Amino acid sequence: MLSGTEARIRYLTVAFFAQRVLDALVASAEHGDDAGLKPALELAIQELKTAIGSGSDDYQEGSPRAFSDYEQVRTLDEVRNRAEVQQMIQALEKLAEDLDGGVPAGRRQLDEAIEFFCHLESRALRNFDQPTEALPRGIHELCKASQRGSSMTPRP
Amino acid sequence: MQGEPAGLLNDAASLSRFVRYLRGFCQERRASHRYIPSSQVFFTYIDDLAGETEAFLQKVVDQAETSAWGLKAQRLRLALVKRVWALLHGYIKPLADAHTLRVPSPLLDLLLQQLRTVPHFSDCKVVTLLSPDLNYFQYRTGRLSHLATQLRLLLPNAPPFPREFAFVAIPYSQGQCLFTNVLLYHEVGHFVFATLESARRLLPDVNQALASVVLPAPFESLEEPAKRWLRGRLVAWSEETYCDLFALSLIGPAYSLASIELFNLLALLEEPDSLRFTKEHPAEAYRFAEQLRYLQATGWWEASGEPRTEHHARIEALASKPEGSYTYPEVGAPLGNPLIQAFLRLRQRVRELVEETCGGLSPRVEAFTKYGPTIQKYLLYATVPSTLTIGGESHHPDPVAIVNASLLFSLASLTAFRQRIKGYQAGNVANHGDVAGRVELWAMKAIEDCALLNRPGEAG
Repeated sequence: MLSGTEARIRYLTVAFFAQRVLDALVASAEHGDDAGLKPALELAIQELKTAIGSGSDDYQEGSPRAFSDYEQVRTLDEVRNRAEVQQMIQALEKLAEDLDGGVPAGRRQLDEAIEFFCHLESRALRNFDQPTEALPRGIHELCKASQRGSSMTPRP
Repeated sequence: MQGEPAGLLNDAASLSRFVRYLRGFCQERRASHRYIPSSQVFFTYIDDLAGETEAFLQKVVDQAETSAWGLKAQRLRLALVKRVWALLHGYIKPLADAHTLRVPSPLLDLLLQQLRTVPHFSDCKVVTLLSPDLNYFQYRTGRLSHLATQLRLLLPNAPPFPREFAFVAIPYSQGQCLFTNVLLYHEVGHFVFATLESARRLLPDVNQALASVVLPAPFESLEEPAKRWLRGRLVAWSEETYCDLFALSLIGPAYSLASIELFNLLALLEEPDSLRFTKEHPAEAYRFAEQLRYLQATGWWEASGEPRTEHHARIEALASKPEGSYTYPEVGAPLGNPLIQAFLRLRQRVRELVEETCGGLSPRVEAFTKYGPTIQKYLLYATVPSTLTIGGESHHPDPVAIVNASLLFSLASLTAFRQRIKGYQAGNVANHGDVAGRVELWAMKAIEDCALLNRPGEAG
């Protein structure tokens, strides 16, 4: 069987992803250093899209993605709902677009993004410390539907 | 803001003490015990990483940020590095406990030698840990390695993670046993499965299987977390099946017999438990059905069927359970049943994956047929079966034949053996255990001898 550290490693992968983006955002916001911002934004957009299911690529063993596993997606889910993540992706895309056009990143947009990734990293670290085994929301609904269905149509 | 840099200093100092302790612990153990070479490599990694972590901590404090966001990011960075060390903390003690006097070195050498014959694994290494749990584990090194790469973004001079390492853990109480440690082959199967990216290769089949069954809501209509969770179950169950068949391909029926021994100890073989799927494992009844099919198809079952043991009967009984009786209670029947159905549609694909991995390996059943009866005869006369005389000629038997023949002897022929021992007290539990342990020692010695006699090589 796989060791119990498996889920904890998944949370750390999320935390490392958040830290990497966070460092680039803080360098830009606090020091005006945009050197690492573009690749960090591209990484963040790609990973968050994967998390909400619009760029799925599961089970990359050698270089696992930040949101390739259920526990990782759930960590994001605990920080922001799907619509809010979608908004964050749009905000990051706008930042990347401005950067391409030579427009300096807006302070407010940077602050929002920094706050988002701080929360994400903190949550991932907390889940590392206290891993939980909860079923995902969709599965709960399926189970409930199952129970309703089963009471009406018992198995032969 | 005045308090923040002091907070940063405290965080850094606390982590520094933690890391220094672990480094000193490893150094002290290495100085006083002997370890297999792959463990030594990992100790060196820990030592180098500790040195770099200390340098990093000093740098963080020397270059403390003054802005609120900057400080927040720095403290999160420290918290993250601390968690990496918390993770390593869990590896270090089991690694330090697994010195050469506490692990079944001849079996580990055999395992490594066999693993290196699998295509793409000619340079791999196996690190053994001693676990406090009464179970066998594998640690996903692909993810550990990725984590180490991520860490190097924070600690640029940190050493690279050692390549091609399989990490397996055995219960500390079983460290010197031969037979139960055959289960390590399954754990190494996880390493092979991951290294060959088998989960990714299975994914199209998994999606197809899930779309082909009637779930309470159509698979495609589900939210992403739910989809991933369902896929995760099928991949996990497939991986466990793959590892079982991988183990059988390398070590033969000894794996199934040893599994019965361990699962019996864990009380997993009684109904309804034996019919239950869990989050990470298919039902034991399913696992033994697949194992029996493999053993029958390869001729191992027939070759190892005499003398027939209680374990053989147990395997056949489990394998004969109807698939309709499998359950996955955690989610209830209306979701669990179609999920199990989807999984059963993957079994042929899993068999193919194992065949792709191990198909080119030499079958060992012939060697067992040739040497098995003589090995058992030698054991009956309390002789280490490393050099057999057959038809007036000396033979050094295949070690896989030694493992299987001696395990079968231990299960079926101890009564005959005991009758040859002067002063043996029939029905004495301690005596029986001592005799069984002695057979394991002779078998282990024979494997060690044959490794030297057949192919002089290096362990670890």
